[in-house]
Amino acid sequence: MFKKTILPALLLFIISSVTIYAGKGPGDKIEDFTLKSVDGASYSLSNVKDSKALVIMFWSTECPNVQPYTGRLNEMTKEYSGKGITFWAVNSNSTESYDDVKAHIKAHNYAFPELKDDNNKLADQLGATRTPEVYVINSDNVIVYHGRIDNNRDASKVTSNDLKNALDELLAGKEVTVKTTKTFGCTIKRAD
Amino acid sequence: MKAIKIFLLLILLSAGIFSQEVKPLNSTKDLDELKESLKGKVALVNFWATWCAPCVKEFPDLIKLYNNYKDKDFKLVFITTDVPEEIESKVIPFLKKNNVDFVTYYNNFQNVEELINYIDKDWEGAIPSTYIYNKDGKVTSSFLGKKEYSEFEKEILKNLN
Repeated sequence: MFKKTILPALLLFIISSVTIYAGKGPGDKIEDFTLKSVDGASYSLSNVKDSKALVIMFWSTECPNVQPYTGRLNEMTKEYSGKGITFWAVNSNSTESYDDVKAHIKAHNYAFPELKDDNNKLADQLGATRTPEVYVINSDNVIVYHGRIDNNRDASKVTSNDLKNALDELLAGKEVTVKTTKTFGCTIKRAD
Repeated sequence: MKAIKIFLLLILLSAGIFSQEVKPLNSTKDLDELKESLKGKVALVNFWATWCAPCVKEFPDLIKLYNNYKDKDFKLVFITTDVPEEIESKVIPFLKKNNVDFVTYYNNFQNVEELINYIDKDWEGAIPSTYIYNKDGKVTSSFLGKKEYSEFEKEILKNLN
């Protein structure tokens, strides 16, 4: 009796009370998606041609953990664009408007586009929860790295360049050694 | 003389009321000890930072919960993810401003992933993040992002009753 009725109900209660975004990680293939930039241009995964990888960076105009990465990411974009890597910042926060993003791009002179993820569709597909949080997608649309940019928001204290390491290994034709990393960051503010 | 004594007593009392004890969490051993100390209590463990706007907004509701349930078997545990260099300059003034009169903790792990994975393997480290433990030390619910007072209270009451 317990097993038939109470146990499933208990399991359902436990599952429903825990916030988990089932997402994708290294080894998973991602579905095509299209995002819009603030000037109305469309950016689709299927249109990323001649790139060895696409770096998707969940970004925010407000998160204090994102802002210290501006300089590092601009430099990285310039360095790796010539090697065939594409960088897109993605803003999935429902609390940040197209105008906020536009002002943010202007203020930071980004070397990469910052795209709006309306209704957090891409964040949901990937299961992204944090800013900054990065995914490296190879030319077969498979995730090869998921996690942090590096291990310290203070550039002078970085001891592990996780994103760079993953890109260097990918460009060298090697398998990425450290495929997932974590760090603290801001939550992505999803639409209700 | 009596007036001086009363004056000194008042100073000591006010210092005691607003004194801040902030302890580092250096390793999983510290987390084991913390977890052990919470056994027999319903505990709400909140990860926050002074730089996190939703955390700061949520903070007064958590203090309200503490004040409403501190006389029951309830413990509130704050773990800040502010960098250790900013504990004195930012965290302690914030705790004082919010009248936190109990021990709080800060992340001092060499490798932050050990802390994150110890708490929850499915957690990527986004804050605010809150975990409610029952009296046996098991997580009964977790919350990602800022939540309302009533959501926390509901879960605490379930575990207290």
